[in-house]
Amino acid sequence: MLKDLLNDAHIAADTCASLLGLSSRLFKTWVDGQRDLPGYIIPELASVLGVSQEALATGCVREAPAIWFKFRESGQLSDVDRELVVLIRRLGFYQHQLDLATSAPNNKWRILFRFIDEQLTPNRQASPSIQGREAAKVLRDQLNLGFPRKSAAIKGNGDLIRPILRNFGVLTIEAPIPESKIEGCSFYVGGPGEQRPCLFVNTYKQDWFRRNHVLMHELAHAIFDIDREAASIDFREASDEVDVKEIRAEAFAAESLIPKEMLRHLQSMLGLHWESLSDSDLAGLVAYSQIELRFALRAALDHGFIDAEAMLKYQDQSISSQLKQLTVRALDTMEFERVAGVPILPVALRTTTIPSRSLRLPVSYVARVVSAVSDSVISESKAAELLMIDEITFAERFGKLLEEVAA
Amino acid sequence: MAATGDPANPPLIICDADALIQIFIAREGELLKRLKRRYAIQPVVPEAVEGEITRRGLRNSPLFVPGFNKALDNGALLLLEERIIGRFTSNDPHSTYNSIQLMGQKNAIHIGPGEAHAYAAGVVLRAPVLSNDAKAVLIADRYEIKRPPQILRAYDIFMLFHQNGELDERDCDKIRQSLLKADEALPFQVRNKNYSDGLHHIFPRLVDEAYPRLATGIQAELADLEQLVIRTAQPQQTQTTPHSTASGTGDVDPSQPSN
Repeated sequence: MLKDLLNDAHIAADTCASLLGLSSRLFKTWVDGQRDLPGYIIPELASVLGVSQEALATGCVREAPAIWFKFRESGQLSDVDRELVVLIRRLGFYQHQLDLATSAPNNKWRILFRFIDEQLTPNRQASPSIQGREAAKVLRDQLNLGFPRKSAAIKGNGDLIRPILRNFGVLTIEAPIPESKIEGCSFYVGGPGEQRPCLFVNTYKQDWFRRNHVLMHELAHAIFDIDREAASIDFREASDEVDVKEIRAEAFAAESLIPKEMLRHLQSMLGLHWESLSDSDLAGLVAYSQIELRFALRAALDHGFIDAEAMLKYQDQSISSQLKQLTVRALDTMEFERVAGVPILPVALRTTTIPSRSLRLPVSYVARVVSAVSDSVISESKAAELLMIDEITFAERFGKLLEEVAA
Repeated sequence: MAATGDPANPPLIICDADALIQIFIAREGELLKRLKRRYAIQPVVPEAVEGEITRRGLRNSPLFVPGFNKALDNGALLLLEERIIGRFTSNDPHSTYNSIQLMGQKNAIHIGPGEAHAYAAGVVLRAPVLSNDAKAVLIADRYEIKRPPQILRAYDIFMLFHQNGELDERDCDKIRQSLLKADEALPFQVRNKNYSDGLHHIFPRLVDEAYPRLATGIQAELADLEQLVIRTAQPQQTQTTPHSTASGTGDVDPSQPSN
């Protein structure tokens, strides 16, 4: 049965073993049916493949879940993408385990998603962009997303959405995958009954402002689409096809991050004159809205603040240096460390070594794992598993830090 | 700390990955055979431990994977599969296996998969567990994870075979050095001491009742862990001769039974 699943998913047994960090020889004995699947691997394997633990244990699933067909159908997906999906789903499983260990909430998202769905019922026949905007209004209201204030520490929606989503039990993974064309995707992780939406954003060559947009776009897919389609995938190069789901997701992202009231608020707070925006004005617009310039200008166009000609003119202006003056979010890692005086976990400490394809883990995830060890919530061996490294590497990377904390 | 009064050797010992890795790095896989031969204690590994040890990308894996596979092949180690569980319990093997898996999965939220399933097997089969991770014991207690009363370290195995004379101090020092060279963690009591000095500081969790106790430390941490006292299962026809006599731990020849 495992063999059938892997065939359907178009993943070679050896590749799957290496992505899971398992011995090929051992994995082959399970795939060939020489040995029963041992109980310990079933939760992880079921989560990665998207089948129930019971089905995997009893061998009664003969066909891969919809997600793999979805990933197969897309002509744009390469073997690398499929392999990355395995890794990302594995990371989703580990994040879920970390949440269980740290008693972090993991199912409030159901209430939120259901509430949004109910509020949308009167608008079922509306256009996809209206559906997206209405859903975003409900979301903003439920999450108390407000407007930024002009103060030293900018707290905008970009700063707020990640911890809020985490608090609702929505998993967010932001990691660089240079080889992949995927910009973002959303799907469920966890077995039936304990499923959670997982939003993945490929951070490779995408700044933080762009990622906020992608994150909310993927959230829209998680709310509207993945129940029916198993997974939603967005590529770096947008398709020319008009897709209802994409229009709705884009409207949702725009309304949740930069609604008309936000533009008015920024106009008043920054003293913007839309007909003659300087580089500093545009930098302020980005810094306080916390979204990329093109997306902000698109919203300004949609709400009638500027015309198409102005949008084209403004979107080519270079605001990089002004933006760096306004927000640390525009700084690269080295610049951020210098300004903030706080070292960021170096890439070398966040890179997995167990799977054959290495993954750079998000800073926040690694920090949470290390903190869980420091607080004696999980053991070092568990931490090593969650970080996909071995125990010696864990001790080398974090032993000194943990000793300092303990002292 | 409590010691079992009347020694009755357990029929099996459940091995976790970290302890086994040390035994194989030290090239002392033979000791597993001797545990079985001399004490009738069969070392077994949960499947999760097999998965951990053979995992890809582990540092030093050439130092221990061949020895591990060999031990599985020659029966020095048994894989704790459902089909062999019946040898160690009078209960239904299927439900016993499932109990271990369920408990192991629950344990694995807080501790590594190997120790999670080793603890579960130790509890369900009421067997001692060979596992080095002291922090896992503390975490297990904190999160009400059931653990077996006897948790031994790889070092306890080395000390046992020193106590009964099958290893001498020089052998044990070599073992210690090979572990240090491979960046393996030693019990903190002996970390910066040579083997014989370390014996004054470490409390042995596994002893042979017939021989003088060489390690004289006091159980300070994990004080509720029981000491496992065992005896030779069948009288040995020939007494093993050590390579050298012990020193610094008393004037008794450790190869000679004390009673």
